[in-house]
Amino acid sequence: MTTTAPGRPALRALKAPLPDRHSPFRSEFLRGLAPWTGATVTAVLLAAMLSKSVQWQGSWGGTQSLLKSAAVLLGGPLAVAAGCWQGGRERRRGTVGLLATASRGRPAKTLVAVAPLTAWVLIGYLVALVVVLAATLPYAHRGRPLVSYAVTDLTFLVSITAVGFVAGRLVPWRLTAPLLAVCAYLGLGFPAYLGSDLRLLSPAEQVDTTYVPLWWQPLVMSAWTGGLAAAAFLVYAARRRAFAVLPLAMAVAAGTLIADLGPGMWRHVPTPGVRACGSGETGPTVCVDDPDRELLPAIRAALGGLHDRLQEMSTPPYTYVANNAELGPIDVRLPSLSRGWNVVRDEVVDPAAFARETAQMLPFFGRCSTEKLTPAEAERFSKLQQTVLAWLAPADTVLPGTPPHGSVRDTDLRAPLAAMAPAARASWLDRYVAAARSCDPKKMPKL
Amino acid sequence: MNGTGARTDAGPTSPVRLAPWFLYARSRCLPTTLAVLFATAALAAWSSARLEGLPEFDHRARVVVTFLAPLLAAAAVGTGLLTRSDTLDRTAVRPWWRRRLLHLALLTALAVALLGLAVPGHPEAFGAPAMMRNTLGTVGQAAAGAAVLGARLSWLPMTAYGSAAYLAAPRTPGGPAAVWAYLMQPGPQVAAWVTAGTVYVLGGGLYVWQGARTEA
Repeated sequence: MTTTAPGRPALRALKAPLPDRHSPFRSEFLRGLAPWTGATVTAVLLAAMLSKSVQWQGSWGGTQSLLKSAAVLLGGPLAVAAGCWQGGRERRRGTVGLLATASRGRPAKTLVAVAPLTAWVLIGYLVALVVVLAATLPYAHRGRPLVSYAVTDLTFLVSITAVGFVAGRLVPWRLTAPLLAVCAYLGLGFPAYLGSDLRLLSPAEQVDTTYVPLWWQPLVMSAWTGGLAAAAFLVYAARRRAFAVLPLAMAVAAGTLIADLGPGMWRHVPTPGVRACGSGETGPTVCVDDPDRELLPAIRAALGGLHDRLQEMSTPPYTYVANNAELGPIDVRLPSLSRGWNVVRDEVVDPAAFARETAQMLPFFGRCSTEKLTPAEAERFSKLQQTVLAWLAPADTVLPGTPPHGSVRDTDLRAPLAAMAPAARASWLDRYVAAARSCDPKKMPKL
Repeated sequence: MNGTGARTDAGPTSPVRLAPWFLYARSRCLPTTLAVLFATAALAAWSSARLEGLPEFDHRARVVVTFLAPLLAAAAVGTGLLTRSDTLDRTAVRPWWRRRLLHLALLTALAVALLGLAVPGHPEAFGAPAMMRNTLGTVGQAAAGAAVLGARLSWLPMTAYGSAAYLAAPRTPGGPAAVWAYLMQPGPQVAAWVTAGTVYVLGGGLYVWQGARTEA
C-alpha cells in the first residue's frame, strides 16, 4: 500500500478541467445583448419588408434593393446602437478595472466582445434575406438574386457594429447609443438628397433595378465601408495604432473610386427579345416577353371581355403585344407590365382598368389631331370616343367633367350602346370606326 | 473637551448648504438633459427650415423632422430618469412619486413646447401639432421603457417601434394606421392624438408609480 504525498490531491484538482469551461466567445454568443440584437434585426427587416410586399414580391431586383434600403437605414442604426451598448457594458457594470487585469491583449479582448454581437447581426440579416428571397421565388421570372447585394450589406453591418462598439468604449454618455442611431440614420439617408454621384457613397443608395452591379462593385463598396470601420477599430484596439493607416488608405481609395465612377459600376441588363404568346379558340391572342410567360392567363382573362365585344364588329382580331416588341398592322400595344403596380404576384391587379388602358391603344382611337376640327366637332369626337371606350372596356370609373356637363359615370356613358340590339350596335360601331379612321366628323354616327 | 474641539473633530463643515431641489436636479443630470432638449429643438428648427427650402420639396418634407426630433428628445428625457442611488432612494421617508411626476411632467412640457415651436406654419401637415403629439407619445414610451427595461435602455423600444412604423406606415393618413403608426400621421387625425395621449398617460403613470427599474 502506498500513500500519496500530501500535496498531490490539491495539485490534481488544479490540473483537472474546470467544471464549466466554455470559451468566452460561446458565453458572449449565447447570453446578453447579442442574440436579442439578431432577433430584432430580423424582426425589423421583415416588418418593413412585409408592409411593402406588393412592391417587391415579383422581381429579384426589387426585393434585393428594398432589403438593402431596410438593412442600411433600419439595420444600420440598430447595429450601431447595439455595438455602442455592448462597448459601454464594462463601464456600466464597473468592471473596466477587472477587464484591464485580464491576461490577454487588447485586440483579443475587444474582438471577443464585439465578434458575437456582429455574428448575431449577420445571422439576423441572413434570416431576413432567406425569408424574402423565398417569398419572391414563386413570382420572379426575370434574372436571379445577386450575391453582390448581400456582400455589401453584410460588410456594412459588420462595419457599423464595430464603429458603434468603439464609440461605446470611448464615449461615456448615456445618450451615445440613441444619438449614434439617429446620426447613422441621417448620415445614411441624407445622401439620397444629393444630386451628384457622391450619393452612391452611402451604402443605402443604388441605381435603377434594371441595372446590375459589375463583379467588382461589392469589393469596392466593402473596401469603403469596411476600411473606415477597420481603421476605427485598429485605432482603438491595435497594439500599434499606426496600422490603422492601411485600412484608412484603402477606404479613401475606394471612396474616391465610387465618387468618380458613380453609376459606371453598374451595367444595364437588356430585356431578351424572345416573346411568348398565348392564344386559344376563345379569347384574345396575347404576346409578352418570355420571362413574363406566367402572366399570359391573367392578361388573357383581363382582356376577354374587350375581345368578345370587338368580335361583334368587323375589325380584324387584334394581337396584344407587350411594350418592347415591334408592332404589326393588327397589333395593339399592352400597357406597361409593371410589377408592384398593375401586376402583383403574377396577377393583374385591376383587370377592368387594365382592359380600359389596353382599349385606349386600339388603332382607331386618337388618330385625329384636334387642330383640324372645330371645338364643337372635337368635343363630339371625344364624347363618342369615351362612349365607345366605356362600352368596349367597362370600368366603374367616374370621369371628371367640365362644369357645364359635370362628371360622367361610366355606366351612364355606355347605356345607349348597351340598349341597342346587337346587329344595330355592330353596324353603329363599324360606322364609328370608319369615321374615326378617316377622321371625318361628317361620317360620325349619331347616338 | 470644549465645543470648538468637537467641531474640529467633525471636520470642516460646508459653508454653503445646497437646496434639495438643486441636489435632485444635479443627481439626475438635469442640466445635460435640458441642454440636449434645447439643442434638439434648435437642430429641428434649422433642418425643417432647410428641408422646406429645398427645391422640389414642400412643408411635407418635414416628416423626417417630426419623426426624429421627438425620438431624440424622448431619449434624452428617458435616459435622464436614471438614478444612481436607487436602493438608497427607496429607503426615504417621503414618497417619491410626487417628485417623479413633477420631473416627468416638467420635462415633457418643456420638450413639447420647444419642439412645437421648432416647426412653424402648415399645422395640417407635419407642423407643430404633429410634433407635439409625437413628443408626447414618444416620451410616454420612453418613460414606460425606463420602468420596464431601466432608464439607460429606455430609448430602445420606442426607437425600434418608431423605425418600423416609419417604413411600414401607409402613405394615406387615417384609418387603423392612425393608431398603430401615430408617429407618421400628418396632424389632425384624432385617433393619433388619442393613441399618443393614452401612451403618455400609461407609460408616464407606470414610471411615476414604479420608478425606473433598478439597474446593476
